[in-house]
Amino acid sequence: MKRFIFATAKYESGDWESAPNLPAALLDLMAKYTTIDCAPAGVIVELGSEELFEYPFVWLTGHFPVRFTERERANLRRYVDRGGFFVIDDHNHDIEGAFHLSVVEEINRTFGPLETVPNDHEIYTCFFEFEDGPPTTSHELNGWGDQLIHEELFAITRNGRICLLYSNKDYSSEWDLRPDTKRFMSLDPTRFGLNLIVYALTR
Amino acid sequence: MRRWIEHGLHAVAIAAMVAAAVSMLLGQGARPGGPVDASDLPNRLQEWTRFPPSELSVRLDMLPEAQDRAWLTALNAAGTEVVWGNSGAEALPPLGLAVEPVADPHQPMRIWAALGSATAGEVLERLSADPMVTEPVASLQDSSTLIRPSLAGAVLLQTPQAEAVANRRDNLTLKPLLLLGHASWEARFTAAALEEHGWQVDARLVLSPEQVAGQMPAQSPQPQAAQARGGRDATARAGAGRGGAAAGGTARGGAAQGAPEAIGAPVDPGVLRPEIDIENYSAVLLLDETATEPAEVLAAYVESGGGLLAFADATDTPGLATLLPAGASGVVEEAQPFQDLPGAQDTGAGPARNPRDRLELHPLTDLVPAAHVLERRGESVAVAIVRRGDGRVTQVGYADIWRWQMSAPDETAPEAYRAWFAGLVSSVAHAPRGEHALLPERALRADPAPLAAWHAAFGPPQPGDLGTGDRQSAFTPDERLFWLLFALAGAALLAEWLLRRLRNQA
Repeated sequence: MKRFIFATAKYESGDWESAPNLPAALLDLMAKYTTIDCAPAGVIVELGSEELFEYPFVWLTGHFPVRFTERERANLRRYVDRGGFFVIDDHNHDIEGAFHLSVVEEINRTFGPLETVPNDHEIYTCFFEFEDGPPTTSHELNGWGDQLIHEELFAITRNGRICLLYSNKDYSSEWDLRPDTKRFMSLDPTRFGLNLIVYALTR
Repeated sequence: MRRWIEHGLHAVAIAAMVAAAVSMLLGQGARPGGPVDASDLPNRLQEWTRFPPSELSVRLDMLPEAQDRAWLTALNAAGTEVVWGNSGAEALPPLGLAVEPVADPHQPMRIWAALGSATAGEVLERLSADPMVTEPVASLQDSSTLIRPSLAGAVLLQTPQAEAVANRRDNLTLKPLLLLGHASWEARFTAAALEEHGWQVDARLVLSPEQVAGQMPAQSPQPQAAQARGGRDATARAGAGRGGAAAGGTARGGAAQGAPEAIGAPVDPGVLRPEIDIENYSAVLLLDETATEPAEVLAAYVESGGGLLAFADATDTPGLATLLPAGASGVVEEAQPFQDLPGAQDTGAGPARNPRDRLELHPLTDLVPAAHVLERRGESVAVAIVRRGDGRVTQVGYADIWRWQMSAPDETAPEAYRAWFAGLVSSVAHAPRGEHALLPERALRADPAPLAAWHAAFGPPQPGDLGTGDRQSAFTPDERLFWLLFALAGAALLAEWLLRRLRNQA
């Protein structure tokens, strides 16, 4: 059986490779707490390629304005319709930042408006429990970017299931850790990432 | 002179009435007529009912309608012996029709149409109570099985010489499906496909030895008969809540979550196991060998009538080998990319269009003698089924079937993927028959196997030609003669009365 492979989306505009350690940090967590068969390293997959459909979990991040090509947009639409789980995270966590504005426009153009994910959604309880919704990041707490704590995540759903999750909380900065670094932390900040993976694999 | 005429007319009237009475009395004991073609039965049955012969010969040039057969059966029961034979050298081909619901949430109808060899027929659906309002379903050259999403009325199988009629006679009671395996893409896509098809899926997906997504707490009632969408969501939430508590202990929300060391408090897996029973589940889908259910539990479930669907990665489950239709797996055929598979817009046909050709295949080998092959890929057996006790086990050799839904370029791939999975489940699902709600008048009109019913009513055919010799009737009463005599008597009496009036003696 094909094992879980963490895929990072490579798109033609923007800095898609801005969180290179994030896959390893999440895979480390996954191996620590679950027996789910996973590949030890992530892969990079082009958003405009057919290869995208071999990876039902894909992470996309960046700082700069995003403008999808027609092929990328069509692939993303088909990917979501076919049952893939696509995460887009704003690496700036700026509410009016370039990435946020451009990527939300792209999502609107491709799927229509984003829905707000309620803070009691099962994505917050499917492995670790987060009673208050999406966990805050140290960037939010330290007043970086727009100096706001973003209370909710946003999504595109199909048949009641989240297919595209949009976050402007900057988990890409929070989770871009080498696994060894987490040894010195009392709490593993990447735990919500495992919820995303478990949700994608079981819902 | 007038008086002589009046006497003459009177005598004619009496003679005519006597003749009519004699003909009626002779008709009661009339000997059988010559062989009658079955196509002429509707014209003769009334006559035979009025003047029942002691014996009838019917030449079966076509199969009579059910009501004519029933009429003839009633005559037979009243004392008229019925013998029959085939018309010409060729016997009429047998005809059979059955309609039954498929074990599927949509309960489509499966139509079994059996035709004799070298016989062409047409299947029709009767759309209303009016027998003339029908819709063609299919033209057949041979026996076939057809699937219809629904049926408005009776189904007819027509050939030039006969017609069979069948009604839906049952509906099925379905239970949820139990999905066992590791949390994986295969599990996720399988469960989603079956839910979207309408099945209620109780998915128990192993995340770790202590956590199973979708577990229902022991005090929760087991899922019962009602089919509803979204069952997996509800049970998964219950399981996730329990899993979260087990994993997190005091861990709650955001930065206040517990330390990693607190995670992993053991949960007694026995408490959370599903009760695998035909009262709870229509079928069990075993995705891989991580399922913790003992093989003897699964064996007992299948023996009692349950269905088991075992996937390629589940065949190594300890103790499962004795249930499966295949004893071993052949050399694995690697997965192929879908990129070069033609899309829906392409018109090419043939094996290259089958998306399952691109899937990894663990060919099924060493099939047990009772196994039946459901699907082949080239020379390899891909899907096989076997009956075990009252239940059935289907083994699937494909692996990573989810790639079909995700990667196949054909726009209809998700729908085809769901339909294929639903078909696999239908092949094994335990679906007891529910209450029968057939209207009595429909039941009367059903005639699913007319030739078999004819044989049952009148026994085997008379060997050889029925002929016309010793079965020829000595006197066959003619209804027209009876009425003619009656009219003659009446006319004579009327004329006599008129003559008497004319001479003022009436």
